[in-house]
Order: sequence, then structure tokens, then C-alpha cells
Amino acid sequence: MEHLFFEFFQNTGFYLCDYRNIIMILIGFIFIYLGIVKDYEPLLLVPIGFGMLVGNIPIFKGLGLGIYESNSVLHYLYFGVTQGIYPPLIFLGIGAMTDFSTLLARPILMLLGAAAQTGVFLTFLGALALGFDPKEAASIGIIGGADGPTAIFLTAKLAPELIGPIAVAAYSYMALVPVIQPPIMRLLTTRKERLIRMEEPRLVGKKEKIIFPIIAFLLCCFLAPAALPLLGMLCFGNLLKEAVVTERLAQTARTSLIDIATILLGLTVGASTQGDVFLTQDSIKIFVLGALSFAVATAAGLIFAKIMNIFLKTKINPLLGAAGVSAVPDSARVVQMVGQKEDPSNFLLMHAMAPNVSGVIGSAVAAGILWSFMA
Amino acid sequence: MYGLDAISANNGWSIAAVGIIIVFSGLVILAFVISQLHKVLAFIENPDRFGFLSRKKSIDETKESALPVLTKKQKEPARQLCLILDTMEDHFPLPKLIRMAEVSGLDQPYENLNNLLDTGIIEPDSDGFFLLNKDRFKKMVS
Repeated sequence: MEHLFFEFFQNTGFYLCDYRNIIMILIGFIFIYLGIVKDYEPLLLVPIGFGMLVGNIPIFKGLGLGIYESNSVLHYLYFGVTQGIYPPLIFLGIGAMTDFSTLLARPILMLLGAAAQTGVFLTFLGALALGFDPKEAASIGIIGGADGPTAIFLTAKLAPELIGPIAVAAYSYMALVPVIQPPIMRLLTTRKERLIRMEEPRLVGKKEKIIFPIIAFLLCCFLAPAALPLLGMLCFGNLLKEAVVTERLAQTARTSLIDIATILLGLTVGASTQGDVFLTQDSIKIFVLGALSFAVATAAGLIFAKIMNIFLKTKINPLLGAAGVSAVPDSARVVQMVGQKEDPSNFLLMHAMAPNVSGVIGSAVAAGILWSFMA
Repeated sequence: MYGLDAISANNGWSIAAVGIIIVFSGLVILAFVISQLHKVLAFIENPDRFGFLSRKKSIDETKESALPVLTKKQKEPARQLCLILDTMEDHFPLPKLIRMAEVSGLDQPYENLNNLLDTGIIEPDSDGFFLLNKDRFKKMVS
């Protein structure tokens, strides 16, 4: 009888546990705390945090329980991550909830989204310098696009072994945008520049809003065909929204569909961050590079906005450059917050949405370009 | 391999430079296209607003398009009035035309004359007389 109890005990988590499981479970607690108590990107951090708890329960391998075991439920759900299914579905929902009219009213702000993608390629160089191979470096670089689904999509294609740390880094820094960006914004702009008021944008017609996703899709995918899954879904979702006659489909895309994809993506990505895979020197490098990529992307957008002002008759507020980092809508909100600290009556949020949504397009194009270079 | 050597060995500089150029070029082109989109749509909906591409109308054409047209019922009396005008001088006084129309037995001469005046088939000259605009008559009545 004692023998039976002992055999049972040897199969419990208490016996199989090691320090790496404990550390990852604690990190999971921190994510859940940040999501629920601090309200930092709860729709992402809570599923990822709980996924970390799920993935780091010590289990006896071979029972078909773990995410990396081919006959487990989690493994089947993880298929949507490794095969790049969930990110395009999330982009469909994002397209169905995004209003591109501020971008259409002032297309020049699209260049700020392009400038912020410099962070992707500079981080790519940094990752190469730290010893990562080109595919891994490209996956790390795309963290600078500040787009979780894009980062997961590209990593699944190029370096699936790094999905865990890259996803955690990308989503963590997206949640920390209100902490990372403001000091850089204040450092790189003068008070006079922060006080610049933007012109009222023109009214955008319905036909423009309908034609834009079609043109954007055709142009960007002819240029970078590898961006097809992400940009195609983004533009399709937006067309469903703007066409009005397909409002039912748009409603589903921006509610149930995106929520289902987010739940499964967050949970399985979190579960993939197992201690033996996650707690490595490479993960620490990825976290450092991720933080740098956000900083560089923010700085690149700000500096480019200042350069544009040299040539523009009607100046733009350079704070909008920080919104080129495509953490929608957090970086636009940060621009609003920093601008209002200088002048409470200066409303920059809607203007900042233009580079913000352009950054989504830019990061998808950058991912497509990196995929086509590395494939 | 680490550092700048690693970047050079993996062609990092070229990939980064080309990647940034392609992203920029793509978004610049897209920004240009959407900046012209509302103008193209406005042109398709209202080409007459864009004078340099629409046919310039002469003042006469503009006036003509503003004139009323004769109905079928009004065309026959108009032909009869013009037959009467063939027997008169080119520049004629209106009272004489009405007298001759009444003598000829034309129905409602005042109303039919008014129709010819409204449509510009009969128009005033600068001396207080009137004349027949044969081109307009052919266009509207024939």
C-alpha cells in the first residue's frame, strides 16, 4: 500500500517540480496581476499569464497533456499559432474595428508609421550582432513593429522555437508603452514643438473609405506578397466594416471571432513558455532587444516627424511620430497624454490614430519583406 | 560570431537597408495614391467642375440649352407661322405677323407666337423689329 502511495506521489507536480516551473508560475502571476489589477492590456496579459500557469504545471511526459506532446488538446490548439492561423484572424477583427478616416484625411502621416518600422530593421541588426541567426534575428526584429499578431505570425514561420519569449516580450512591451514612450518623447521634442496644434482634418467620403482597403491591399501585396495573410485579412475586415451592407460579418469579426482567436492565442502562447525553453540566455537577450526596439521605433518616428516639419508649410506636432509604433490605440493615447500635459486643450488623439493605423500596415509589410528575405 | 562581423557575414546591412527602403517606398506610394483618391472620385462624380477637361461651351450654346423646347402639338402651328414669315421681309414687326396669322385662320396666334419667341425661333434685332432664326427653327421644328 505504501508503495502505491509513493508511486502516486511520484506522478504529482510536487515531486516533478523544479525551480524553473516555480519561476515561470510566478511570472504568470505577475502577468495576471498586471492585467487585472493594473489594467495593462488585460485582454492579452490575462490569457498569457494563465497560459504560463497551464504550461508550467509539472507533468509526467507521455500522458498527452503538455503543449509539446503531439496528442494533447493544448497541442491541437497550439496548431493555430505554429501554422499562423490565429494572427490573421485577429487582423480580420482589427480591420473590422479600425477607422482609417484620419489617415485618409491626411495621408502624409502615413510616413510616420513607415519611419517607426526602422526600429524593426535596426533591432534585426542588433540581434545579428548578439549572435542570433538571420531567421531568429528577423523574428526578434519584428518586435519593434509593436504588433503582437505580426510578431507571432513571423516567428511561427521563421523561428518557432522562439515563439514563447518573443510573444511574451512583444505583448509585455506593448502593455508598457505608457511607461517606455513618454521619456523618449520628452527627450526628443521641445516644449514649443509639443504645443503645435494640428489642423482640423477634412471630411472623408464613404466611397474613399470603401476603396481604400482594396487599393491598400493590392498595392502592398503586389509589393510584398508575403504580407498577404495579414494585410489581406486586415483590409478585408475593414472593407466589411465600411461596406455597411456586410455589417453583420464585420460585427462578428470584431467581437466573437477576434475574442476567440485572442483567447486561444494568448493561452497557448503562454503555455508554450515552459521553464526549460523560456529561462535561457537567449530569452534575456530577446527581452533586452525588445525594449530597445520599442525605444528605437519611437525615436525614429519622432525624429522623422521633425525632419518632415523642415519641409512642411503647415507643421505637424512631432509627438505624432511616437504613434507610428503600432500598439493601437495605446501609443495614440500616450501622444494625447503627453500633448495634454503641455496644453490641456490640445487634442491629438484622433490625429495620432493616423500614424498608429499606418504602423499596423507598415509592420505587416515589414514582416512580409523579412519573410521573403529569409524564406 | 558576434558584433559587426556577424552583421556583415549575414548580409545584415543590405537586408536592413533594402527592407527600410521597400517599406518606405510602399507607404509613400500608398500615401500618394490615397491623397489623390478623393480628387479622382470628385472628378468621376462631377466632371463639369473640372473646366480644363470639359468641353468649353459657347455663350450661345449655353443660352440655347437654357431655352424651352416645342412640344409636338406646338410644332405644327410653328410651321404654319413660318410659312407666313416666308412671305414677309426678313426683319418684320410683330403686329404685322399677328395680323397675317389671324387673316390666315391660324388657331391661337398670340400663344403660338409666344412659343416661337420663348424658344428663340423668332428673336429681336437691334432696331425694334424681329427676325426668324432659321437654324433654330430647323433644329427644333424639323
